[in-house]
Amino acid sequence: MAYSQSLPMRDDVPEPPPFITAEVENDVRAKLSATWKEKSGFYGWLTSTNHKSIAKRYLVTAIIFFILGGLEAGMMRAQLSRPENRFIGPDLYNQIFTMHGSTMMFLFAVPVMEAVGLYLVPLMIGARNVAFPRLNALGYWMYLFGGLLLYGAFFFNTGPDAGWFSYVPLSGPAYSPGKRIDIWAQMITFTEIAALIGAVEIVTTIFKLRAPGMSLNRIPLFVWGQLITAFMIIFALPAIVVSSTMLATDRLIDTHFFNPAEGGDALLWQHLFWFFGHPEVYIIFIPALGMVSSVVETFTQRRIFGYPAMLLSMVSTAFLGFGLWVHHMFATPLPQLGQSFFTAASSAISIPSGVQIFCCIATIWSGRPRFTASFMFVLGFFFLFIIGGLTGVMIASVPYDLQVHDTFFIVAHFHYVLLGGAVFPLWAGFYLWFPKLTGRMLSERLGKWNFWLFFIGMNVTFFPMHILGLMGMPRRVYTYLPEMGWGPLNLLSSVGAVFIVASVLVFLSNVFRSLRFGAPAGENPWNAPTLEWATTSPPPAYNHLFIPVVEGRDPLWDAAPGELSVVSGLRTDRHEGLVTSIMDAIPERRYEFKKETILPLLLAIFGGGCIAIAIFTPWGVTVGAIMALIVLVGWFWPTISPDHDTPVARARR
Amino acid sequence: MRRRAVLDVAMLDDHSFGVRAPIWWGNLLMIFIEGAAFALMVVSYYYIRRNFNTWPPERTYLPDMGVSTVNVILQLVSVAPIWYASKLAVAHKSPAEIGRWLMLVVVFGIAAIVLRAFELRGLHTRYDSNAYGSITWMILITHLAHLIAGSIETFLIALVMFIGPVERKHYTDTTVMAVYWYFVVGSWVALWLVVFVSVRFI
Repeated sequence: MAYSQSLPMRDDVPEPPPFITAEVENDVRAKLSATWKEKSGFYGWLTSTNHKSIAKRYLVTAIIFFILGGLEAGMMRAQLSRPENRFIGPDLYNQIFTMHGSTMMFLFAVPVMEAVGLYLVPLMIGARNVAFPRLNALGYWMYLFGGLLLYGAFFFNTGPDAGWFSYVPLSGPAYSPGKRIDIWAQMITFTEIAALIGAVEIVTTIFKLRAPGMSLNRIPLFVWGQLITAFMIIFALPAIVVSSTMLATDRLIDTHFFNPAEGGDALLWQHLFWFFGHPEVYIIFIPALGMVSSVVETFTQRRIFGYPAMLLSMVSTAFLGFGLWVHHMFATPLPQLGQSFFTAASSAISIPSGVQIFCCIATIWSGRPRFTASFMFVLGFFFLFIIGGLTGVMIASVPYDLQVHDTFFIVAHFHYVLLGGAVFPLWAGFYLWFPKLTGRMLSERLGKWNFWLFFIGMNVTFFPMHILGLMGMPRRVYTYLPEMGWGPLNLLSSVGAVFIVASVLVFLSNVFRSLRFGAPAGENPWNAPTLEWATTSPPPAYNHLFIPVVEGRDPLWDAAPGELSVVSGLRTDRHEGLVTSIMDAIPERRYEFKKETILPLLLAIFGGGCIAIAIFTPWGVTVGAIMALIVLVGWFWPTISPDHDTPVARARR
Repeated sequence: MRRRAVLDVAMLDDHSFGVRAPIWWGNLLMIFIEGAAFALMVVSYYYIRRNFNTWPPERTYLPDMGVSTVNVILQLVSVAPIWYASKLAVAHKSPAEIGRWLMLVVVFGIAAIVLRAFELRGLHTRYDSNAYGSITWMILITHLAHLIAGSIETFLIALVMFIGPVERKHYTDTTVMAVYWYFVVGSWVALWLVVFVSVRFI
C-alpha cells in the first residue's frame, strides 16, 4: 500500500534536532530584550502597548474600584445596621447603592476578568503580544476615563441615583432632572467601548496567534473561557449600546423611546437592558470557571477530568445565558407562555453548571489535592456558588419570584453567585498567578487568613439577607422602622461586613509584603502544565524566548521534564510573532506587532472628551468626532521604516 | 529549560489575506458588534409598533419610496467598484489603479450620504415627534454614521494608494475595507426593507 510505504521505517526516524546552545539563547535574548525594551519614564508609561503592562494597569485600576465599591457597601451596611439610623440620608443612599452596583459590575467585574485574560492569554498560547496592541491601550484609557467620569461626578454630588440598571421612567427626563443619569449613561459608553475592544483583542489573539500545534482541542480551558466570554461580550454589549443611547437621547434631545405618552415603552428598556444584563452575569462567571479549572488542575497535579464536557458546558452556559433575560422581569405583565419558557430556561442553565462542578470534583477525587490558599478559594467557590445556584433555581419559578422580587432575598442570591462565583475564583487565580506576575510568592499563611475571614464574613453578611427578604424587607431602602423586626439580622449582616473588610486588608497587606519580601518564585513554582509557566517570572516583554511548539493538551507535562520544542526563524530585530491557522494552529505567516505610541491616549482624550461633552450638548459628538478623526488619520498614516517589509511600489502620479 | 528548535518559520511570508490575516478577523468582529446593534434596533422598531393602532402613526405620511429606492440601488451598485478594487489588491496590481476604483466608491458614498438627507425628510416625521419618529431616525442616523465612516476610510486608503508609501499590508487593508463596505450596504438593504417597505404591510 502506498500509504504504509510512505510511513518512515523504524530505522528512518530522524534524530531529534540538537538542543539550542546557551550561546545562541543568550544572543537571541539580548536581541529580543533590545527590540522589545519599553520606553522608560512617564512618557514611556503613557505610550506602552505591551499587553502585560496594559493588563497590570487594568488589574490595579479594577482592584481600586473594587475597594471603592466595597467602601460604598460598607457605608450601606453601617446605615442599615439599626432601624431609623441617621448616618446617611435618602438622597446620598440612592447615589451610594447605584454607585456600588455600577462600580462592581462595570468598573470591577468585567474589566478585571478581561484584565486577567489580556495578561495571561498571550502567555498561555505562546504569543508575543495581543493582536492589536495599540487598540488594547485605547481600551484601557477609555475604561479609566469612564471610571474617573463616574467618580468625579459622584464627588460633586452628581452621582447617578436610579440603581445600576437605571429603570425608566425613574431614570427618564421627567423623574430624574439634572445630570446624574447622563453621567451614568456616558460611563456606560466608555466601559462598553473598553469591554468590546478587549473582546475583539482576545478573540483575534486566540484565533490567530496560538503557538504551532495548539489545535482547538489543546487550548487550555482558561483560554476557552476567555474566548467564549469575549464572544458573549460581542453579542450582549450592543444591547446596552443601543439602550443607553436611547436613554441619553430621550434625556438630551427629547426623543420618545421610553415615553409612553408618545408611543414609547418603559418595558423596552427592561428588555434591552437585561438582554445585556443577564449575559453579563455569565460574562463574569465563565472566565471564573476557566480560572477554577487552572487552579484545580495545578493543585491536584492531575489532568482535568472531562475536558470535552467542561468545554461544552461552558459553551452551552453561554448560549443559554442569552435565553433567560426575562426572568428579571417576572413582575411585569408578560404572557404566561413567555414566563414558562424563561422559567424552564433559567432552571436548565443549572445543568451545565452542575456538569462543571462534577468534573472538578472528579478531578480532585482522583488527584492529589494540595490545600493551598488558592485551592481553598476554589473549594469556597463550590460551596458558595452551589448555594447561590440553588436560590437561583428557586427564583426562576414565577410565583416564588413574585413574592421575593425586589427584596433582600434577591440581594442575597446574587451576592452569593457573584462573590462566590466570580470573586472567589478570582482570588484563587490571584494566588495561583501572582508569582508569575511579580516573580514572588504570596504568603500562604496570610492567604488562609484572607480566605477564612472572607468566607465567614461573606456568609455572615449575606445569609441573613435571605431571611430578611422572606420577612419582606425591600432592597434599596435607606432605613426601616424598629417595629418591622429587621434590626437584629441587619446588625448581624453589618457585623459580617467587618470580617470582609478585615479580609481585604489582610489581602492587601499580603500583596504589599510579598512584593518586597516574598520568596522568589522561579519559572514554575507549582509545577503547572500550561505555557505561561515556561518563561521567567515575571515574563520578559517578549514573553517567550522562542515561541513554543505544542505537543499536547498540557504542554509542560507532556514534554520531557525540562525540555521544550520551539520555533526558530522569527526576526529578532522587530516586534515579530507568528500567525497560525484557527483549527489546527499550523503556521501561516509572520506578523509584525505595532510598537508603542501616544496615539491611543490622544484618541481616548478626544473621543472621551466628545462623550463627556455630549452630556451637555449634542455638539460634543460632532466636535469630538472630528478631533478623533484627525488622530485616526495619524494612527493609520503610512510610514516607511526599516522594520517593515518592502514597499511594493510608489504610485505613479 | 533546554529547547530544541523543531520548526523553522523563516521562509514564511509576512503578508496574508482573508482568514489568514488578523485584521480581517478584527474587522469581522466589529461587523458582528454593529450587526447586533442594528438587529436590536429592528427589534425595538417592531416592539414600539405594538403601541400604535396604525403604522405609521395617525397623521403621518408613509415614508417616501422613491428616494430611498434610488439610494438602495445606488449603494448596491457601489459594491461593484470596491469588489473590483479588492480583486486588484489580491492580485497585487498597481496602487494607482486600485486608488481610482476606491475613489469611485467614495463618490457613491458621498451620493448616498446626500440622498440620506432627502430620505430623512421623506420620513415625514421628526425624532422628537413620537416613538415612531425616534426609532426611524435612530436607524437612519446610525446607518448614516456607517456611510460616513466607510467613505472616509475608503478615501484614506485611496489616498495612500495615490501618494504612498504603499506597502503590501495596504492591499490587505483594501480587501478588509471591501468586506466592511459589503456590510454597510447589506445592512442597509435589511434596514430599508424594515423602515421603508415593511411599514406598508404591518
